[in-house]
This record gives sequence, structure tokens and C-alpha cells, in this order.
Amino acid sequence: MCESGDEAEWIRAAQAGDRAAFALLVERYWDRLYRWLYQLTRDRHAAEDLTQETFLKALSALGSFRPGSNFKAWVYKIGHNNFVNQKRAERRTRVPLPDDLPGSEGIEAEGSAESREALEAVSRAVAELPPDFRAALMLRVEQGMPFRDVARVLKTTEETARWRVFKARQKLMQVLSPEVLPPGKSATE
Amino acid sequence: MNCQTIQNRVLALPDPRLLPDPLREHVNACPGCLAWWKQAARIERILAELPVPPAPADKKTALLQELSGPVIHTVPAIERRSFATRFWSVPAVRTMAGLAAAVLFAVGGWLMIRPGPGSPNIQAKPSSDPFLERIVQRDLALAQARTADQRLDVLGSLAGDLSTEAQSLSKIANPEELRDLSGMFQKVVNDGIVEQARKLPEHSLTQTQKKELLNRLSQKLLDAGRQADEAARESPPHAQPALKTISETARDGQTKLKAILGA
Amino acid sequence: MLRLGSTMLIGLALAAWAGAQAPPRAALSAAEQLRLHRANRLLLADLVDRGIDLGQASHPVDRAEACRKTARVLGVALLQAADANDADRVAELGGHLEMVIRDGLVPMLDRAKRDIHPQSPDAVRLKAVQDSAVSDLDGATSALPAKLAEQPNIREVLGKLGGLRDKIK
Repeated sequence: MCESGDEAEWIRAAQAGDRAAFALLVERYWDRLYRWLYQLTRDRHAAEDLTQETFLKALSALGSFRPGSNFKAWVYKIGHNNFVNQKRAERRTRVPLPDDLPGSEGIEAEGSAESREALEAVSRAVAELPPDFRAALMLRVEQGMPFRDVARVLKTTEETARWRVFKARQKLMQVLSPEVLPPGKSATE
Repeated sequence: MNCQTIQNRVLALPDPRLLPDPLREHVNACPGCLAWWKQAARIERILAELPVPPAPADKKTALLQELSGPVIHTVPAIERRSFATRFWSVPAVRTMAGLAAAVLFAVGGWLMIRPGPGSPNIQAKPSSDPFLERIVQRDLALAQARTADQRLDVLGSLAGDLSTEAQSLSKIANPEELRDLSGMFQKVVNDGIVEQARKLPEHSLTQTQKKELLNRLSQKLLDAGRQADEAARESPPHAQPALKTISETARDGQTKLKAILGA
Repeated sequence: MLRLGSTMLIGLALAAWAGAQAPPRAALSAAEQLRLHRANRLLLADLVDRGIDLGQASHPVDRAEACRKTARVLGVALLQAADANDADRVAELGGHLEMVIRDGLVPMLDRAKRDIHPQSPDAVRLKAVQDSAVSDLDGATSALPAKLAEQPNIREVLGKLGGLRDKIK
């Protein structure tokens, strides 16, 4: 059975009250959603809280999900709403918990052709992007979502989603010139 | 097509690493664009593999366990209304609840009339902040309030606390600090008081009770606005904007509450 | 029954309101007042935001979550005070945290547990709130340096917080 077939079955079962089926959906999407929400919040505690809140809301609102439509985009949309609500409610100048201070985020370069410094440089540049651009960019590039679904998640038009990704890439190209971006571990390109 | 146009088209692709033929032809023929494209492709690749720190508290496992494990609650699924009714119908429970209420009143009364800070029994710790304590108490009162109207009353008091603190600090705090306080006051009035007054459930209060509540809140805002105006007259210029914000927010809040009452 | 319930609620509200009547400003010098305000500026802003959330939430689980976040804000501030080796502040914030959990969060969780069907999605949400509250509390208390934790006023608060941990679950 193909992946989308499995997922459709899990959703049907979850909507009928099968919590174990919902657990399979959590297993499938938790890590990916956490990664994206981390890019938005830059705070692993906040990202984890938001991820949990998203799945709990999804569980409560399962009845409103239309079978056959894009479940991933639906969950991510809930996640983005939670993020926006949290941003509205909380002060941005709040000091993060001590183990989230800069330098202690545990960025590792294992398995990557890139050096730790290059990864950190790009990570910092992404963090500097306006939140709307960052959200769209990471949905497209890191999560592999088509522009149509990026638009759904961010509650905008496909044209605006494309534009945000374009502007984000343009900004990164300006900031991460070859002189600024440290060379990779290997010389192959 | 010039190079800038080509580069913009590359950035607009779903994946800049995968060039359609027309763009690829130009990039291969143009050294500047080729170097530029290699950088764009490299950034795209790095973006796709940016590491993130692990989640701190393993809430995923906790949620999965909760979803997959057996339901462990031992209380039988009794329909809650009948349980509450049965609980309160027991005479001993009603007696104890009455006694508890009496104790609460006594405690509340004592707290109201207890000696002030001049008394030798009360010793303020050097670093404890009375205003912080007050705000924590307000949050606690909001947590304990069972109904929307009770919460509104506490929000009204919270707004008053913030206005008083701003006035108190108006001669000594810097403009940014005062702006923060006026910003908090605005949030409490607009997002707290006015918004919750709009959302008061229809059946929760009689028209008279609603009128009394909104008039009470209006009065609190009126007092806060007047005090801010008075403080502004005696405060240095840098404090004026924040106090003016408080005063205007209070007046605006009153207007909105009147409109809600009239609706 | 309704009158009795109302009486208790009025008593609770009265006690909470009376408790909020903190000592007047005259006890502090202007310099001290400003110093304390600056030390607590971010915390105050967070607590006001949490207060607005508590004012907005009506569902029992949402209210419990809002109260948990209030407690968390105090826990974060407590850890920051510990990092700064400020024992008095740790004790002060520990006291506030204890009060919010004891008088706010625990009763809310108990009430929510009574009101919610154990197999509903809300029960899953409530369990998540409880787990998060315990995790927050553990995070705030276990990270205190031993030297601070051994001071009598802090040890007392930590003891009380430890006792509340089981009540949250």
C-alpha cells in the first residue's frame, strides 16, 4: 500500500475515534513539524511546546478535516496559527531559558558535506530573515512542500508564497556571498 | 535576457539546483552566472540539511504513550452532573462547605483589616517587589475566578495596578520603561477588558448585573485616566507620552464599554 | 447548593482580592522601587500577558494550560535568578511559584479532571498539561546550584514545591 493510502486509512480511523491511528500520524509528522517550528521560533522549548499544542489541537479538530485533502498542510496550518498567536501574546524580548543561549544549540555537522561554520553561517542568516519569508522558505526548501501547499499553510495566495521564497533566497544570496560563507568540508560541487 | 533576469528566474524556481534547459544554457555559457548559480545551489543544499537542536522534554514520546497506552483513569465514567448533584446533596458536605466559606470570609476580612507596613509584625524583605507580588496575585485571582464577569473584575483591577505603577514611576523611570507600562495597560484594557466584555455570554448575567459590571469597569477606567492626567501635569516631559497613552486608552475603553452596554 | 457554591466563590474572590492589596509604595524609596521594577520588567510583562490569557480562557483545559504557562514564566525567572546567584530573588520567586501552583494550577487541574470525560480528546490535552507542568517544575528546581538550594529559605520553598509535584500529577 502506498504512503498516501496508509495515511488516508489512519485519518479515517482516527476520525472514528482510534487514538492509536492518530499516534501513527503524530509519529509521521512530529519531527518534521518540530524542525520547521524551530526555524520559526529559534527556541527549542517553544518549538516543542508548539508542536505538542498543534497535535493536541489537531486531535480535537479532527472532525473538521475533510478526508482526501492535504493532511500535512492542514496540520502545519494549525502549527503556524499557534505560532502567530504565541507571537502576538508573548514579548519578543523575553530572555530564553539558559540552555538556549547562543552557542549552545548543539549544531552538529555530522553527515554533511558542509563545515560546522558554514552551517552556522546559514543558520544565522535564516534566523535574520523576516518571519514570513523564513516560514515560506523553510516550508519550500526543507519541508519540500509545493508552493500551493505553502500558500495553504500560511493562509495566503500561491503568488505571495512564491514571492516570499524568492525574496528570502535573494536576501540569503546577498548576505551569504562566497566571501562570507566559509568553504565546505569537501571541494566537490 | 540579461544576467539579472536569469538569476531572478533561478531564485523563483521550486528548486534552484534543478535548472530548466533555457536557464541552464545561459548559466553554462556565462562564467559570472555559473559562479552565482553554484553559490545559490550550495545555499539551497545547506538549507535542506540545516540541523536543529533536539527537543528538550521528549513531549513526543509522552503524547505517543498517552495515545497508544490504556486509559488509566480509575474514576468510572459517571455523567458529571449527577455526580455533582449527588456530592452536594450529602448534608456533611454542605456543612463543611459552609464552614469553609465562613473561614474564607474570616481570612479575607482579616487580610483586609490587618496592620499596614508600619507595624513591627510586617518586615519587607529588601529585594522583594510588592508590585510583582500584586501582579502575581492578580494572575492567581484570574485563575481562581470561575466566571467571565469575575475575571473581568480582576482585569479591571489589573489595569488599575498598571496605571498606578506608571504614575508612581513617572518621575524616575526612563521613557522606554514607562512606554512598556502603558503598553501593558493598553493590552489589559483592549485585549482583556473590552474584548471579554464583548464576549460576555448572553445568559450569564441579567441586564442589570451586566450594567453594574460594565459601569464598575468604566469607573475603574475613568479613575485610571484621571490619575494619569493628574500625574502628567506634574511629571517631566519624557513621561508625558506614556501617561497620555494610559489616559487615552482609559477613555477609549470607557467609550467601548458604553457601546457594549448600549448594544 | 447554588447559594453555598456562590458563597464559597465569593469567599475565594475576597481572599484573593484582599491578598492582592500589597503594602503601599511609601515603604520603598524611589530608587529601590525603580531598581525592583527594572529587575522584574520582563517578568512583569510576561505575567500581564498570562493574565490576559487567563482572562480569555473559558474551557477547563485551556485555563489549566494558561495557568501552567503562568507558573512556567515564574520558573524561567527563578532559573535566571539562580544563574545570577541571587538567593533572595530565588526565594522570592520560588514563593510566588509555589503559590501559583498550590492555589491556582493544582485546583484547576483537579477541577478539570472531574469535569472531563477520561476518553475524550480533552483528557489527552489535560494529561499533556500535567506532564508539561511537572517537567517545568522539575526544570526549575533541579537546575538550582547546590549552594543555593542549601540555603534555609530556598530549601523551605523547594520542599514545598516538591510536595506539589505529586499533586500536579
